[in-house]
Amino acid sequence: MTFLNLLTSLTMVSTESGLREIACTNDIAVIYGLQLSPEDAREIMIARETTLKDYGRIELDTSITDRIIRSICPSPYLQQREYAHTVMELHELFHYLKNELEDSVGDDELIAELTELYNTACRGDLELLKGRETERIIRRFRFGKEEEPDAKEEKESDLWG
Amino acid sequence: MGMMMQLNPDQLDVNQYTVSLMQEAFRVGLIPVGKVETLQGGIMESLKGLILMQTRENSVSIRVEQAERLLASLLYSVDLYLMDLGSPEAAAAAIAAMTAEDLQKAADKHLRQVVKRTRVRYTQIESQRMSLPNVVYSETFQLAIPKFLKGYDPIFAAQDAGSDMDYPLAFDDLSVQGIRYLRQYLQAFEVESRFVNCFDREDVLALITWNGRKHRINYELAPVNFYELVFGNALFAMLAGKPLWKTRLTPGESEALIIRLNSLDTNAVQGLLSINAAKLVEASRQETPEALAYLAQTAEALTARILQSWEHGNLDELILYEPVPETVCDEILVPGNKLPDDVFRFVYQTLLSQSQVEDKLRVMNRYVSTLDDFEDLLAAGCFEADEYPAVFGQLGDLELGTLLGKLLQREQLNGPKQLMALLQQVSLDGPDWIMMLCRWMEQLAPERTLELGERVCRLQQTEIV
Repeated sequence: MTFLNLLTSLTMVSTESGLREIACTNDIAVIYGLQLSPEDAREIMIARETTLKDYGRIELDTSITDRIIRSICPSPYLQQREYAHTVMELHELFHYLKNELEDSVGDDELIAELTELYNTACRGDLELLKGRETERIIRRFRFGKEEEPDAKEEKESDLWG
Repeated sequence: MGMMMQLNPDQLDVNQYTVSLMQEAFRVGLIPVGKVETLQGGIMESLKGLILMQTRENSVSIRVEQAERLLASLLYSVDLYLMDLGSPEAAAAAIAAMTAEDLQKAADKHLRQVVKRTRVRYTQIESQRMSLPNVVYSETFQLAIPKFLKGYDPIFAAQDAGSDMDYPLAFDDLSVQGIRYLRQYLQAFEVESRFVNCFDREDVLALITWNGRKHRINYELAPVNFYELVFGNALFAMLAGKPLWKTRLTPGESEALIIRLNSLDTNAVQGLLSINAAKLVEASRQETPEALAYLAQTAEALTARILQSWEHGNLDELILYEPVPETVCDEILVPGNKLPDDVFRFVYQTLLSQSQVEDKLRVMNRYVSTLDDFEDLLAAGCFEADEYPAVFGQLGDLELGTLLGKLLQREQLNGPKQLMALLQQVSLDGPDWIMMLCRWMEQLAPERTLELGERVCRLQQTEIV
């Protein structure tokens, strides 16, 4: 038992309960025709730990994954075949943005922002969300800049085809 | 019934006291493994609470470094509480008896009390501290400590220590963190301050000034521990037959002391030092065992230092005594107002018209009274190479010292013996007279160059202090 082991235990403790919590989200996801298998849940937990390690962060519990799932599953663009992958990608993007924005944005606000963009400007395109929209989020939160008019028009034309 | 194993204090780390104590208490069987896990879980719960408090419950995720800092802060207060229980056994008993939550609450309360008591102690010390003209000393107590106390964060950064307390103590443990560092610093300073206050302020001030001159440091700016200076010279003064609480020595008294000590053997010198240091410690009005221990530690360190210096024959380096007043010399050249240009041109022309060095010297003595004019005439090339020894030879120590000091410019002598070494490094690309002066100096007797070295040292000190 050392100082660092104590800290590591913070993330280790929650792994088993995390699997159970992810499984619980199926109660809601099933309404939208989505479901995570125990294998999916395990993959999500493994990806979570990798993300946390890569980004040098810790989570006190698995509630961020849980909230991402509950927030994204009503999306009309989310299909069962990419459900688990999308959850993992959003989780990683969440922590990337947390670091970039130096923790200045709360968890719920950031998850809501990502979900909103996924559903509107990106129409379920994860690459677009990870690229163009991520940069916009950073600019907006970091510098308080509103979107340029032409960008807004582009966004609207994206929406209405 | 088996023998109870003892806690091994060597296994305890003061900067990770709780964790190391839990390990050690578990090893000797004072706490069961289940208790260790419960405490660990409890500490993690406290950390979660702290993280949520810092993020205002907006986030359950933070950077690892930030979590480490918060955990360090949290454990710091527990460490402080357990250490202040007085013994590892008492601390282990507290760990065994208390829940993690109760331990944390007690630790937080204790930390707040320590901060409060430290503030009070600082105020008392500040009102009793001897006023002395030293920037490091003043700024430490008037700026750095109030700034630390004002900015100290016992919740999120309890382990942070102020970094601006630059006044050096005789004994200072820099590995100590947070408020413990300031508490320890003030405790030590209080002992030092009480001791220094036994002496007359003017005497202390004189010692600081003499120390500055002797070691060629600016006494108003240099970080010097006054307590050690006072303690050391009080000891020398006692050895020289002065009463307690006196520190002033004359050069003659210092020399007599050195001669007397040199006539004794090591045991006798050590005995004298120990007896007088003990008298000084005993006579000082320290009340607590810790304060007496601090003085005894000082006495021991100083005795060892003095003894070593005595063995190496450089006791004079340690004794502070009244500087010898500058004697009035019969030098003819002084720094000051230069000759008017037309007079200077006349002198220059006259010198050039003379063929004998004796005549040139007569002209110089008659018209030139400032060192600047003298230097300008040297630079103007009024003398032949074989005339320089006569020119330099008629200069007094003060004139030569000043001239050499100017030649060395910013090179500071660490001692009179260094003069010749530094002169060898002087660039000879300049005017001829510089090269000639260096050559002339090389031909002087060693005693004479040493005298001139001392003169340059004194002149440089006068400029610094």
